Amino acid sequence: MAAVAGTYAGGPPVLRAYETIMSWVTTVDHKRIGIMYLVAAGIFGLVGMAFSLVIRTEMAETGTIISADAYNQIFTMHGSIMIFLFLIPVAAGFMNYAVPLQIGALDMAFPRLNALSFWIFLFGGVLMATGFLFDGGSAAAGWTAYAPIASNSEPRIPGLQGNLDPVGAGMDVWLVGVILLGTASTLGGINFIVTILNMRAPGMTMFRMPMFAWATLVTAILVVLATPVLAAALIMMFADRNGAGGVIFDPNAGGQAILWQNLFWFYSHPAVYIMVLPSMGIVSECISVFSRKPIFGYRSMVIALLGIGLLGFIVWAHHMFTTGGVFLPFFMAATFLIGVPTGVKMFNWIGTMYKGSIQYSSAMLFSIGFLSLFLIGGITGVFFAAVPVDFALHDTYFVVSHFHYTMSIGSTFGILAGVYFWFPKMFGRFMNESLGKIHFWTTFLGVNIIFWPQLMLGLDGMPRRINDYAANGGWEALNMISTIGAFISAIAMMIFLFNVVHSMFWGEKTDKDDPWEANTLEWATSSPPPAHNFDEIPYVTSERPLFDKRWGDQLDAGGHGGRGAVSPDPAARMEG
Amino acid sequence: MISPRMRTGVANNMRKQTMRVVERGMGQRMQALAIPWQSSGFRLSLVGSVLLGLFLLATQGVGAQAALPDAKSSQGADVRTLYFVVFGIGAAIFILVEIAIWFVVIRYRRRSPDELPPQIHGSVPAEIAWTAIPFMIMVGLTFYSFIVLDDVTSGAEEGEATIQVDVRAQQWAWDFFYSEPIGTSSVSLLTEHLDDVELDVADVDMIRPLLSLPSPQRMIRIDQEHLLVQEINGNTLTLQRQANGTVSQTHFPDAPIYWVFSGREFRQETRLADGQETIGVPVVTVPTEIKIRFNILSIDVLHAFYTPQFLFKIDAVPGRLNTMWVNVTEAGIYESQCAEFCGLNHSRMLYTVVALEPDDFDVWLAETANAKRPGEPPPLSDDGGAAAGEPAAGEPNAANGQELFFANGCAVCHGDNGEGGIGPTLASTGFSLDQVIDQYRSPRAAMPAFPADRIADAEVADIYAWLQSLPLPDLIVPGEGTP
Repeated sequence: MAAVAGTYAGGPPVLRAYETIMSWVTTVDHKRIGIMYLVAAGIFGLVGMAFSLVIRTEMAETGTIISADAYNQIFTMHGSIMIFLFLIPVAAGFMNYAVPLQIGALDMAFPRLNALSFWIFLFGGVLMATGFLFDGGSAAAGWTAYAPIASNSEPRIPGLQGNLDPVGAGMDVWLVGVILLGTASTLGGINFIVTILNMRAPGMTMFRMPMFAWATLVTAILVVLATPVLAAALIMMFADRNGAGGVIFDPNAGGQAILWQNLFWFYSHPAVYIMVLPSMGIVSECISVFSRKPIFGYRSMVIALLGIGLLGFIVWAHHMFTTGGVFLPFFMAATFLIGVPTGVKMFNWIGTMYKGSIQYSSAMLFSIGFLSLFLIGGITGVFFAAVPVDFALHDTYFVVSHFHYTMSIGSTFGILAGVYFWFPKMFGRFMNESLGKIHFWTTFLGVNIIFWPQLMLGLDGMPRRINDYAANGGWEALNMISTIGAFISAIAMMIFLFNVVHSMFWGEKTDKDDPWEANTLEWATSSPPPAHNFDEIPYVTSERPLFDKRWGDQLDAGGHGGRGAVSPDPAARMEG
Repeated sequence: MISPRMRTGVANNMRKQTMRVVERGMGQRMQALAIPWQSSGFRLSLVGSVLLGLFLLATQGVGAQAALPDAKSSQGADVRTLYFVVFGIGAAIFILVEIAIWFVVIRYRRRSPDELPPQIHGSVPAEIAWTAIPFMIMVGLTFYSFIVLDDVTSGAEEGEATIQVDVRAQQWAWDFFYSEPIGTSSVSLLTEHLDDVELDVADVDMIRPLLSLPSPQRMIRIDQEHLLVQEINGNTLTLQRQANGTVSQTHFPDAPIYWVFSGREFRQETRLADGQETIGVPVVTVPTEIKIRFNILSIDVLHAFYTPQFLFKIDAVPGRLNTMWVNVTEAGIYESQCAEFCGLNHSRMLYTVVALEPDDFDVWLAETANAKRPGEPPPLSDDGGAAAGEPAAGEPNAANGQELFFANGCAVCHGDNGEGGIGPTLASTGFSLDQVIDQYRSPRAAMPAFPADRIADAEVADIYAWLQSLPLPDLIVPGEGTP
């Protein structure tokens, strides 16, 4: 293995290897692009979190602290930033960093396109954020930008009823920003599909791919199929606001308000899985590695991924049950059905840990935390599948809590597991595990303190997106608790940030390429890997090449081996 | 700063080369791993879990509930039953899965750094089981939900007494309209345009009294469409389609014709009072025990008609007529609010449902209709004039306010009687004086700013007082002059 590590053995200081800023700007190395995605998305995520603290502070008690207009801008940008600028790109960061390494490729299929994706993303993100600089402020119609409130750029002409409260130029900037972000996503998605289909290591069949690579593939397919629909819808809304006068989405000018929702959710429901599937992939990797067991039911996991991806395209209208414009029975049945593959994954993860040898590293703790949070998120989702219950709960805080449990906090737990897991690979140093455990428990408590009370607020009928509420409604105590949880989570995030920065420079060095005893090829090269990734591409005989190599002799002798360990002497083959 | 287990993990990797040596040297650490309660991570997790459990219990103590509110409608009761079924299944799954997670997490801790667990790659029977069982649960829930859905959305049966209430949402107010039949007449469609409809009506005399009403109240309903009576020529009735939001429909030849009147009332409520001021909250008065059909429209952006005690909501979508059936089961006052984000004052778009016993409702409805019936002077000051909060101190002068209103050109956009036009309706506005002053100083939409040296706060208070003395217009009619 030392030979593979080559000149990078011993883990050079982070900054020495990457000489100048210009080398980052001009890089086409998927690893450095991945790190740039992670850093940029992380910074956006901190801004989004700061906004969430403003929201929670405003909602802690009755009465208002900031104006309704400012509140609307902030919750809109909280959602937009978290979805378009944090969850989607941060997953893209891990995909960029890990997938070519996991499949034994030297880089992405189109390295320059990859760099272009990143820079378009960054530009689009910054552009969206500049909305605050415009007269009238940023977009303030929610991240869903429902027509016609978002599609009106001015009060309606005399003689017609219309929007008294049009959203200003910030909305146009938002639309253009999201179009750019969608473009970046689509280019990235194409890149991942081509890379995964064509550039796998010798011997790595589709069913020997790491689970994270599978998750990336399905995510990329969703991105490529769904995002163009969003781009089309955004362009239409931009036209409506700038000259077309609302003929597309504003009924007062002859348009169709619900058309926007159909187009928007046709993208944005698959987008929920675009945000959560990568986290599921990371969690699958971590649970397998830290339990020293293969993924339980590898094939059913893959089928479940594909099933979620497929069903994700035919359930978009479950966001629109109360519009009166939906064929309810079909979307109700499809929505119930999507609970099945999700359940299969949950049981398979537990099956993976069953009879395992579980090591509670921070990455594993966050993976198990993901299971618990996603379980709550998934079960609360069933309430919305039952359409009559959705009539009661739609657009209340129950929804807010539900989607935060699944795609927001749930996904973030997967991402944090990924940070702890791949940090030694990226920087050749460990993150501090004690701080990691404190971080985990503080976060786990914090987010439950935020979102558990919100379930009850929603049951009690508190609508979302209000900036004030009645003093006599009995909502004050729960809102205050929720706000306290938000600050606990923010403190936890500070611990994490300190840990990241401190560990990057002063963390304990990894003296091995594979400190976690992991399964997949990214650990078969040095930490951090050389620019060309591998000095030698190993031959792959199962979905866990490194595991086979490490335990090969015992597997053969002890008879523990299962279906994956077929090679008589994989270790010898890898040493080659 | 590095935990013992981390060092173990790192040390693990050396095992490949020097496995036996490492094994001997690790005796002590293996001991620590083997006894969970001696590890700091275990203690931390125990503390964390206990804290979380205590927290979940504590939320019950501050009035939190795990159920939807008690239903005050028969549809809501069905929804609530379905909720409990889903809740029961969900809770059972949650508890079982959590037990499974905690079991494997505690039972299968790594006890020795070089132990190799059995490599189980899967189990076809298990995987089929946990695909098939959730599938059957979901199919069962789908069918049950479908039955409930059918119940809660089904309309009145043949011959069943119903009442229709038309709900019109706008930024940021609600209008409620009631209708009473003025007879069934043979109606045939002559022409139909985007704005106008011409109908041939056999018995035109029943429409004629409406012509004595102020124009915004000359409103009839055929099928679900609101139409303003423009003129009557012989048997031909020229009708103007109502402000956008109503939906053009095909009219049936023998459609009953209804006279439509506003049920506009306000309650003084302290909900969302921004500290001091009270605000006028629109009231929809409904009977109990009779099936109510709400016809829900919006004239501008999306809103949602949501009364938590009905366990039901439906969006008010511009350009679309949505309906909702409610059987209120208990008289009472049900505070409600818009549930779909609709802009600046979304959180202030409140309404109140007042459910009356059928007899009380009949009295209320007759009084309201009488007050607006053709042949009598249209009601002015008693119709919601007392809405909204008290003007500020200093005895505002309404007459002076009226002069200022015209002198400053407010009437150009807001109408001679504050009924609205290019700008929003201001008569009996639900906004507070402070909000109105705020709007003068830094207007949001297209209104010019009026700094304090142009109109003093006291002068705005005068205007506000005059506006508060004005009756709410029954309808905002595009392009129509004042009544």
